Amino acid sequence: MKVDVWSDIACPWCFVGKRRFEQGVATLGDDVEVEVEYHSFELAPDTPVDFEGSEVDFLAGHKGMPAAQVEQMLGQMTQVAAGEGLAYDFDALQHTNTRKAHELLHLAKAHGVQPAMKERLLRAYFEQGRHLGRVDELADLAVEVGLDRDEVVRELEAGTFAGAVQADVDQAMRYGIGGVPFYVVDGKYGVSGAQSPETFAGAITKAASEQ
Amino acid sequence: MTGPFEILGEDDAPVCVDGVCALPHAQDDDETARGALGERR
Repeated sequence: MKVDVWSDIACPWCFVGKRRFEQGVATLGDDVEVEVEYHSFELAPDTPVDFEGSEVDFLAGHKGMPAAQVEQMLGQMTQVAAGEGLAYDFDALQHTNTRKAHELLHLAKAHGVQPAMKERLLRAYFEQGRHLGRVDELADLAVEVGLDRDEVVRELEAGTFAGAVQADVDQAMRYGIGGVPFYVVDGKYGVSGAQSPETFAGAITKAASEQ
Repeated sequence: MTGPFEILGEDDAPVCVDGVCALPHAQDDDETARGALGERR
């Protein structure tokens, strides 16, 4: 069973949704073999690689809300994530442009390690305050999932997978996908958002029963 | 309907849309609350 997932690294609901999806798949046991492919979606393509300031500074500045209110909301998001076993750290988070991270995910896909790379990037961004806009930092993380550092640096600096990222973004637009995470199950059922594990399991079971 | 897909699941599941990441309790609130977590543009 193929599941295509559109998501962004800098998307708190995408990491939460990933955990809920995994929980749903786990309930299926060996009944269904699920293959996941991640597709690129940029929530903020105009974000600079280097933003001087905290996540609160960025969000408050763009939304015009009091910093205290933004901090409260981030605190609530942190609590939701904690409920899924995720340790979000918005104080350490380094806001950045995620295009190079998406290019790395495509490189990882070419080497068969995209799921591990996706997990590593999300953890690095939301839990560990790593800077995912920089090639050197991305290369360090790529090595952890078995990729060759020199190749990663070379391909990211060359922009080899920039076209693949844009193709994903364009496909999302053609499909009318306006929000992430968005899941396409077996090419015919769409599931939008960080749904419950039961919903994900139900969608996969439904699609499997019709194969 | 989004694209060629039949949509399954709850309508109000949390998503990030155009850089706005709504919290669960804000789903039915005003737009200010919806945007509080992540206006990114």
